[in-house]
Amino acid sequence: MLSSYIPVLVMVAGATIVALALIGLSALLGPRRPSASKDSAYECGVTPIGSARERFPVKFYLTAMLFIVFDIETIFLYPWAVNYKASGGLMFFNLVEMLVFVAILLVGYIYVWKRGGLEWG
Amino acid sequence: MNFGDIHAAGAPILMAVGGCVVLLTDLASKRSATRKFGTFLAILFCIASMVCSYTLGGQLRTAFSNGIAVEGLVVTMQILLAAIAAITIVASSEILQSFHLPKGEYRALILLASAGAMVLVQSLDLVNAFVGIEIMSVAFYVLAGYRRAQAASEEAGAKYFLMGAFVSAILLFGIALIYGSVGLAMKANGLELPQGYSFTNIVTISKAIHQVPGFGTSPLFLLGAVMLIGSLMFKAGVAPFHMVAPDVYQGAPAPIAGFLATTSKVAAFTILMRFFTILAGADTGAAINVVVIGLALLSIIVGNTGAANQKSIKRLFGYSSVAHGGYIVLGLLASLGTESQAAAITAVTFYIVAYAITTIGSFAVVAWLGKDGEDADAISAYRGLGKRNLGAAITLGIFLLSLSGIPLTVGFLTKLGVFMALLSAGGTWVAVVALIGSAIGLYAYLRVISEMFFVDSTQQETSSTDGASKLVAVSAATLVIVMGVFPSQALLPSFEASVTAPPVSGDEVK
Amino acid sequence: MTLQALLSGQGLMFLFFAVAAIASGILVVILQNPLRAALSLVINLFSVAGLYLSLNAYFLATVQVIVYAGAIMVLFLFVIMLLNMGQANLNTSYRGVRTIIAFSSAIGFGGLMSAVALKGQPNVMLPADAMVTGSSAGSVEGIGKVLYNPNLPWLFAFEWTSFLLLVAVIGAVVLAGKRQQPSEDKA
Repeated sequence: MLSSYIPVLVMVAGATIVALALIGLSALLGPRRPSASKDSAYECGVTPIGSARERFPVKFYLTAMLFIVFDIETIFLYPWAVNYKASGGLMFFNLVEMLVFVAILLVGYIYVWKRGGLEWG
Repeated sequence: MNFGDIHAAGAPILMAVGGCVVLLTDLASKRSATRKFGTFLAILFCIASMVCSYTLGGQLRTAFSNGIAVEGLVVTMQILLAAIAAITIVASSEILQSFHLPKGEYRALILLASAGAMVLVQSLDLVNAFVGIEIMSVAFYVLAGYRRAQAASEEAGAKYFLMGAFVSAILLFGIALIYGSVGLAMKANGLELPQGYSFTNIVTISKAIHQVPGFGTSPLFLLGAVMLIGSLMFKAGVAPFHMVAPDVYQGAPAPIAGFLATTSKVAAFTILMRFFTILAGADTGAAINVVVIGLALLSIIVGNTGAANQKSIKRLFGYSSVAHGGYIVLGLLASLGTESQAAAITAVTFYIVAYAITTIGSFAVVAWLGKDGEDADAISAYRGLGKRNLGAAITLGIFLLSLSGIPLTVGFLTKLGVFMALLSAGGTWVAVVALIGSAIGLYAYLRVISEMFFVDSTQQETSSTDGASKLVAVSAATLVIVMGVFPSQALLPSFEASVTAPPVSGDEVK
Repeated sequence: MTLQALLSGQGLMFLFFAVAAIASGILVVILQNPLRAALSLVINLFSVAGLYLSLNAYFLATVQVIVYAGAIMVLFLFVIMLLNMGQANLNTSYRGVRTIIAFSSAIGFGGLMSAVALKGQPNVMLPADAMVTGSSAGSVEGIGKVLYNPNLPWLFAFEWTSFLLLVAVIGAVVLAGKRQQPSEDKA
């Protein structure tokens, strides 16, 4: 079972080697002549205004939290979907149990929608 | 899975479905004319849940592949939880109105929190218990911080959440360790998994404890059990995990504080009672006894001394809840002895019911005497109350006397029951220390009573508009006296049933 | 785990990810810059996913990557951006009673856990195997067969999980959503 992950391992190793090699080679071979304008942040050629670190509005946070909740719903769908075709006589029962699960979360979705949790303005 | 299974789990299902219905109705309606309708709907579901619990009767029945088990004890607690939810929803209308808090969400959260508490109460499988406790806790965090505009409420919510999340992780870790230790021990000793039970089921754990020699003292199991007990004690607000309780009760509006204090204790102590029934008579070394005695005495001492010098009455109730948690733990301790088990379970059940009534009532008085939804929190506000508002002063006095355990109130009978069970279990010195703690507590409560009746004040009478809280407070006070004068344990036969049919008996394990 | 088991392919994988998890975990705590600490946490979460893989818990590894390394990490970064924490705002002096308590309890708990692990039986196995037939207990398939089976107790917990998520949705909107105007006092 684990052997099927060997391609993933090879890819991770390959990506790491390439990334390290690119950074390492440019550090070794590239000439370095720093100046004030080169060290400033690149903003499409315009002189930067203020710090790049800006405070995020709290709205992002609500969106992110809602995303996590529905992300977890997806997690529960995954093993269900993998087994669904093979569930044989339990197919209808499995469909109903997942519909109940999704219906309860749908209440939450309707709630968020109506309360304006998805609106930006 | 069949209809019988759904009936057995019907009480929490009705509460949860009620939460969804209340939420959707609130979204669909626009006018304030439907305000009463939302309350009505929520209470309807609470009553339906109570009826569903009641029809289950006292006999033991398991459902959902032994994931849950319902018997007299569970039925009693489910009815109590539904009643607490209904009373809280009635008593909260004033604060919701005054602070313009969203009402539909509030009712939905109360119903869902109670549903989680009921799942916890009836679960036989620790996995179900964890899901139940999480539903309850997440709703609690939101309710504690519900009054967003007030910094104290937000602080309460944030503190409660951070501590609670950490404790949930410890609880889950403890369950995982128990799962691992039970599985390893049963495989190593060639024991079969009881037919239809999982490794996290209390019945399976009981089998491992009673049939595998040395399992009760194996470090993996003991560490898991102590983590489980400790984190459930946090949910019940027992010292040294009590730091959050006074902050939360002070920060949250009074009806919410009453709800949090009672529901958490009812749910956490009931599942602890179940867990302790399987530890009874088992060889677990001294570790669990030492931990439980330590927690109980620490809570009694910390709770009572903490209550003694408070300026805020809600903080006083917070510390008082810590102390009362300690007395309930003493009852649980007595339930570890096989001889005293039956008496201890009855005593603890009675204690929990009586504590719930007293606490809901006390917080209702705080809301009743408040103005424009602000609670009457400072103890100085109660100075000379006997002259200004005799009815309120007597009502609060009854609750304070009951909390301190004076005869003719229910608080006396409950303490008596716990101490009797403890003495028959052989815990004499523990009882003596607990009595000293009670004496300190007496000072704390009598201080408020003397403020009310024996100190004159120039404060003006504030006419309250909170009729619902008044109704709740007065009826709770009546119950406290009635239950204290009549031997009311006999009025509730389901306690007896719960003792004669404990969730795990020797035959069942086979 | 015996030495032999550790030197197998799976054992080496476990060792690699365990070292990576511990190293990145230490970095999370000691790095001064909150963004760097958060990025170390990403490495830590991925290493834990690797640990799950090496222990045959494939589903858990997937969840770890999707939920923790994906979604939860985004939340962490949002909070750092939200508070706009620079180095100057952080109190990172490792002194005082709190630090002593923190370190001693961490060491104490670590010692307790290792003592328990060393005293336990060496043959670590998955008790859940007893309930699954046909596929490995930790695989996505295995989890699915157990979780949605009407004849096993976890269907109950699964359905209640949706109510837990519902409470979380309500809580997120109530606590972090738009404050309702007092004038539009809803029913």
